[in-house]
Amino acid sequence: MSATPHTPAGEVGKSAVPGHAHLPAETVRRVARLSRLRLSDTEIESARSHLASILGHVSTLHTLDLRGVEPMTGVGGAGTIVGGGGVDADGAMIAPPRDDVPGPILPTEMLMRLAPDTDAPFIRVPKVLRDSGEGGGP
Amino acid sequence: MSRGASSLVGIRDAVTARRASAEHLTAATLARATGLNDALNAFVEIHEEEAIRQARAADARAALGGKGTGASGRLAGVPLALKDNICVAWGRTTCASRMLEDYRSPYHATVVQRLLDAGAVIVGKTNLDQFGMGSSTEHSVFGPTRNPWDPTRTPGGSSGGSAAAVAARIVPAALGSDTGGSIRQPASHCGVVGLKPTYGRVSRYGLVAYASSLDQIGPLATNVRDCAEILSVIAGHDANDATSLRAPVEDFAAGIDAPIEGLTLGVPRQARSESNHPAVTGALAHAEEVFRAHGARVIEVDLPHAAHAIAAYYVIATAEASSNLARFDGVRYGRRAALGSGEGLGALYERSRAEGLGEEVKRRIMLGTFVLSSGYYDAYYLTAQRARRLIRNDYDRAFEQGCRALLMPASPGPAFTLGEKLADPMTMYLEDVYTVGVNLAGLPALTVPAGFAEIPAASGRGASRLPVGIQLIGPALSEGTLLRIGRQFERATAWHEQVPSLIAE
Repeated sequence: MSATPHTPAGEVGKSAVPGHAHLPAETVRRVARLSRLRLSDTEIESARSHLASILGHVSTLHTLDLRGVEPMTGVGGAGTIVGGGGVDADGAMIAPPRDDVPGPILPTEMLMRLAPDTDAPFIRVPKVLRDSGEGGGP
Repeated sequence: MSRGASSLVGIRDAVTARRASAEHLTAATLARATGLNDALNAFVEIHEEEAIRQARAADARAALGGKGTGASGRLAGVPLALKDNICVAWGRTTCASRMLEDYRSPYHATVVQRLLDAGAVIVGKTNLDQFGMGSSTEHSVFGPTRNPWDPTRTPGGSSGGSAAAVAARIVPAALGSDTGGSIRQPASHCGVVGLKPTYGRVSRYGLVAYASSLDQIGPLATNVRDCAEILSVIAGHDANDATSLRAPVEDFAAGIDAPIEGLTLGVPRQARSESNHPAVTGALAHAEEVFRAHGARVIEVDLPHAAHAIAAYYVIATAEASSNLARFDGVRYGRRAALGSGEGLGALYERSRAEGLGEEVKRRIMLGTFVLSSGYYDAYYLTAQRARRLIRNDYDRAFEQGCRALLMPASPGPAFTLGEKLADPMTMYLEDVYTVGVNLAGLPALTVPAGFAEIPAASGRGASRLPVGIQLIGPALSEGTLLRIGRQFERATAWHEQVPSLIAE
C-alpha cells in the first residue's frame, strides 16, 4: 500500500498518520479555506470533531492488504471509451465517443437570467486586481 | 379525503381506454398533495398549472386513440413526483438548499423528457436531504419530511419526500436518486418498492451531481410492476451523459410474472448481523422461506470486505462532492452573498458558499477536500479506491457461485425518530451499511416491503407499526431478473398492499 506521506507545497498538515483523534484546528481551517468556506470558530470546532470521528472510522481501511490492488476509479472504466466503445472488463457496454458536431445550445439570455449580478452582456463580479496591486481573489 | 392513487398501470389503462379522465385524476392528486403537505412535508413545490396542462394533453391524445401523437402512451395520464434534484424547465430545482432556492433550470433532465414523452403528468417536486446528502430528509431548508406510518419518525433519505409521497398514495410512483442508498433505504422505511438501476442504465443528464461515479436515478412505486414500467421508459443510452450505457433496453414489465423456480439466491453472511433490529432479522428469515417455497435455492455467500464499504464510500463520495459542488461559487447562478466594501472575489466565494450550503453539505465538502489534499491523497483517496475494487470483487465472486441475486436487509432497522441521529453524523452514516456497497460496485438493487416492526409505546410515545424492506442485488444489467424475483415475492406476501392508517382517515 502506498500510504507514505509526501510533503509538497500545498499540504494541509504535517501528518498523514491515520487516526486523527487530535486533528489540529489549524488543519481544519486550512481545509475550510481550500473548500472556499468561511466558517466561524464554533463551526471549525464542530467540523474538527466530525472529521476526527469519520477519519477514525475510515482508518479501518488501513487494516486491508491492498498490495497489487488496482484503484477502481469508476464503474464504466472511462479509459476503455477510447477506441470506439465495446464491452469493458466489468462487462458493461460502453458507448463510443459521439461525433464532434455542434448540437443545440441554450440561449445566452436564458442563462444570463440565472446570474446574480449582470452588466449585459457580462456577469459582474468584484474586482480581482486592486489599484494597490493586491488581489482580492483566492 | 379519498384513499388516494391506485396503481400506475391501472391509471394508465383507464386513461388510455377513456374510462377515466387524466384531468380529474390530476386535480385529485394535486388536492391530495396539498392537503397532506402540512402533515408530511413531502412536496417542496406543486406544479398545478403545468400538471393540469399535461393532463389535458394526455386526455386529448387518448381521445385520438393515441394515434399520430408521437407519444408512447406508456405512462398516459399517470401523475408522478420528482425528487427536487432533478431538473425540470418550469418551477424551481432547489436541492433543498439556500444556494439554489431560486434556481430555475433552463432545461429538462433527460428522464423528465422521457416521462413527458410517455404521457406522464409531473405534479411536483419532493423534499430531500440537501443535494442528496443524508439518510433522513432532515437536512432540508424546507424542514423534515415525516413518515406516513408514524409522523414522529423520518421517512429515511435522501429521497424521503418521494418515498413518503408514494407511501401516502399521493402519487402511484416517483423518481428518486441513489448515491449510497437514497432510494432503497427510504423505500424500506416507508413500505414501498424502490429500484436503484445499474450505474449508467439511466441518464444522469439534468440530475444535480453529488458523486458522479455513484449517482443513479431510479423509481419508487407501490409495487414492482409499476417500477418496471417506469424503468422501461427512463432507461437507455443518452448522448448527453458520457457514462450512460449503450446496453439494449428490454421491456422490463413483459417477463415479470415468469416463475423463479430453480433460481439460486445468495444471503451474505455479513447480512445476518446481531445489530439488526429483530424485525429485520425476522423479515430476512421469512423472505428466505418464501423464496424456498417458490422453488428457489438459497445459499450462504461471503462478502468479506462488506465491513469496509462505509469507510470507502464516505471517502469516495465526499471527494467527488467536493469537486462537483465547487460549481456553486455565487458567480453564474445560485445564491450570492452581499459583500462589504473592499471585499473581493475570494470573499464572494467563501461567503456565498457559507450562506448557501447546509451544515452536512459543508462537512462532506470538507472531508472530500481533506482526503484529496496533498499529503493525504494516497492514504485516503487511493486507499478507498483500492478497497472499492475489493468490494466489487466480492460481489463478482458471489455471482460466480451461481447466484442470480443476493438477498439482504435494506437497512439495519425500521424508521428512526426525527432528530434521533442528527447529533452524531457517524450514527447517521451507519444507516447506509447495507446500501453503499451496491453503489461502489455499480450494481442494480431492488427494495421490496418485507414485513413490519411492532414498536411498543414507551416514554410518552405511542405504539407504532413500521414497515421494513429487504433488498435484492444483482449483477450489472440484471434489473429484469431482480424485478421478476421481487414480483414473485410481493405476489406471495402482499406486504406491499398494506397502507399507513392516514390513508384510510
